[in-house]
Amino acid sequence: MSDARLAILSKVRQAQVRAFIPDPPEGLPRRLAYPPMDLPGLRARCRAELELLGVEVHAAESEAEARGLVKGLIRGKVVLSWDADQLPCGMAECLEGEKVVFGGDSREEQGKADIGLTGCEAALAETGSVAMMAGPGRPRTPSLLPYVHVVVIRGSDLMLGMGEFFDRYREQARPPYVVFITGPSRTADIELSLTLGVHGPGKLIAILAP
Amino acid sequence: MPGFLERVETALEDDGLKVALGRATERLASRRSTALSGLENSDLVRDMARRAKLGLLKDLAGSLETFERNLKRNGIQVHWARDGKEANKTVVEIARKADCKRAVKSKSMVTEETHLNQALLAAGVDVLETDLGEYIVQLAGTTPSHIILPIIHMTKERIGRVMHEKISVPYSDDPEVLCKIARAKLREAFLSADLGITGANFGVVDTGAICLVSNEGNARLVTSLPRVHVVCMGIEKLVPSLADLDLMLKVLGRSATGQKITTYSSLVTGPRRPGETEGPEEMHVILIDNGRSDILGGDLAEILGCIRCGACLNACPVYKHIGGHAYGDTYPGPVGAIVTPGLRGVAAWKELPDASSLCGACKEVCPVRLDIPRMLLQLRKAAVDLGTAPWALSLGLWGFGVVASRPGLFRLAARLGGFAARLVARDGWIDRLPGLLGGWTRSRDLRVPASKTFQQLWQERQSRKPAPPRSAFPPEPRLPGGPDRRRDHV
Repeated sequence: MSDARLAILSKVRQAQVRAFIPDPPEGLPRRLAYPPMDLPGLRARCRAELELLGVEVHAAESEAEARGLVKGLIRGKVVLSWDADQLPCGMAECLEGEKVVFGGDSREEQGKADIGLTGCEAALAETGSVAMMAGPGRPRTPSLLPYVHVVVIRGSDLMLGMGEFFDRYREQARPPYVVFITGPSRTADIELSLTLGVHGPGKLIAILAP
Repeated sequence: MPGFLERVETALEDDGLKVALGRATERLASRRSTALSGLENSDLVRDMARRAKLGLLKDLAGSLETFERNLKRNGIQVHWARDGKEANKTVVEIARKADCKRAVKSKSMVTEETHLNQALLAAGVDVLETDLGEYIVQLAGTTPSHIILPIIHMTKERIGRVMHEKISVPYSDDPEVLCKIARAKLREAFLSADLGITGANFGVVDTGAICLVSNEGNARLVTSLPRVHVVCMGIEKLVPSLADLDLMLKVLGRSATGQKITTYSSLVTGPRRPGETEGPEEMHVILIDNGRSDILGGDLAEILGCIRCGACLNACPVYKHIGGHAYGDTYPGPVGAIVTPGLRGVAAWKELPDASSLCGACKEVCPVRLDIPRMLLQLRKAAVDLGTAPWALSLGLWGFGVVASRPGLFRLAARLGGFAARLVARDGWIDRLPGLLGGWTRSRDLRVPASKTFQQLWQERQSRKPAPPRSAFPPEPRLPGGPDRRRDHV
C-alpha cells in the first residue's frame, strides 16, 4: 500500500503546480473575531437558541434548585448516567434510590435506559450547542442511546461560539473525541417533513444551573 | 445505462418527481437564504471559507503528509488508495483481519463512487446503511438522487410500500411511524455490528481529526459502538485548522438545510483510550484519490473546494426539472456536471456540462463561491476540442459564422428564414424541422417568428417620424458656473 502513497503524493505534487486555483479575495482578517459578551447576555442568548431548537429549558437559581429539577425528571425512570463523580452541581445525590446504569455496564443494559444524564464541557450561546468531550467516566452513550437526554449547563460552561471552544480544546496534548449537540436528533428525509428522534434522543432537556 | 437524453426524457415524464423536486428544492433554497441572512458577516465568513479551502489545494501534497502524521500520532492507521478498487480492497482486508462480519455505515459519497457495498457483500460482510434516506435507498435497491436528501425523488407512499415489501412491516405513509420503524430496526443493527464505516465531512490537518456531521445521530453510533471504525475519504476533504473548521460548519449547515449548525458535529480523534467504555478498538483512515489528482492538475481544480452542501442543486433550474438520477453518476446537479467528467473523463460524460443554462445561480449560492459556470464552460470547450461534436453541428456553426458576419447576407437569410418558418408552422408553433435542423426541434418547440424583422420595424418607425431627436440621450446638465465639460473634449 505504500506504493499507493508514493504514487498519489507524487501525482498530487505534479498536479498542484499545473492547477488553476483562483486567488482568494485579499485583505481578509486572519481569523474570525468573537465579540466579548457578559454572563447574563450569554445565558439569555443560549436559552433563546435552545428554545428555538425545541429544547425544553429549565433555569435554576441555585445548585439545589437544579438538583431538584433533575430529581423530578428522572424519578422512577431507568437512568443512563455519567459516572457519579463526573456529574456537575452535586448531581450524584439525585441518583440515590433510582435505577441507574453507567457506561461500564453492558450495551444491552444501557440500551434499555429511558433517560440519559450528563453535564457538558461547554455550551455555545451562538447556536445553542452543547459540547461533550469523551473521557473516563464521561461516556458518549447517555447523550445518544436513550430517547431523552438531560444535560446540565453551568454558568462557567457558557461561551459564545465554537472558535472559543477550539482555543481551549487545542491545548490538549491528545485531543479527545468531541461532539457538539444542537437540539434533538432529527431528519427531514421523507418529503422534508421534520421528524425527531431518528437515531439519537428525540427529546433534549437543558438545565441552566448557576 | 441509458444515454443522457433518455435519462432526461424519463425524468421529465415523471410528474410525481417534478412535484416532489419542485417543492423540496424551493423550500430548501428559501431556508438557506433565511439562515445565511441571519449570519453576521456572512460574506466575510464565506470569503474566509473559500480562502481556507483553495489555499490548502495549492499545497495539497504537503497538507496530506502533515494530516497523515497527525492521524498516526492520534493512534489512527492510515491507508492510501489510488482508485475505487484499491479502496474497496483495503476495507475488505481490514474487515477480514479483524474478523468483522456485520458493518453499519453512515452516509458517505465517496463509497457510493467506489461501490463499496457490493464489494463488502461479495466478501461476505453484511452491510447496512443507517442514514434514514440511504437505508431506504438500499432497501429499494436504487441510488441517492440528492447529496443531502437521498430520497428527495420518492413520495412517502412509495417509501411506505418499499418498507412494507422489503422488511415486512405494516404499510404506513406517516413519516413519524416510518422513522420509528427504522429506529428500532437499525438500533438492533448498531448494537450487534462489529464494523463501522463512515465518510468524512472534513479532515482537520493540524489536529489529525475527522469531522462528521449528521442530523440523525447515526454517525455518532457508527463511530462509537462497533469495535472497528474505517473512514473512507477523498484526498481533497481537508481543512488546515480547527479555526477553519469553525468557518466551514457555520456555512455548511446553513447552506444545506438552513440550520445554524447541523445537529451533531463530531470530531473523531482516534481509537478508544484507557478508561473509556466505548469507541472502536482500532481506527483506520483510507485516503482515496480515484481521479481527484487528475482534476487538480487542470482548469477544474477549484471544484475540489466543494464542501458537498447541495445548495447548488436546489438553486439549479435544470436540476429542479430532471432530478439527480438523470446525471447518471454519484454527484448530481451543477457540482456533478463538473465532478463527474472530471473524475471519469470528459469523453464519456460530455453532455453533463450542457445540462446548465449558465444562469449563475449555483455560483451565487455556493458557500465557498466556486465559479461553477466558468468550469462548465471550460468543460464544454474541452468537449469540443476532443472533436466529438457531430459534423453537422460544426458545419452549421461554420455556415452561421459566414452569414452572420455579412450584414446583407444576414438580412436576406432572416427574411428567407422567416418566410420558410411561417410555411412549416402550425398554430403559431414549429414543432418539426426538416433534415439536419430536425435535431433541434426533437426536444424543443419553436415560436413562429414575427412577420417583420426587428430591423424592418425599426426602419419603418424611423421613417414615420419626420424629425427624430438628435440623440437618444438627454443632454448632460451643465455644472453651475463651470465650463461645459463636454465641449472640452471636442
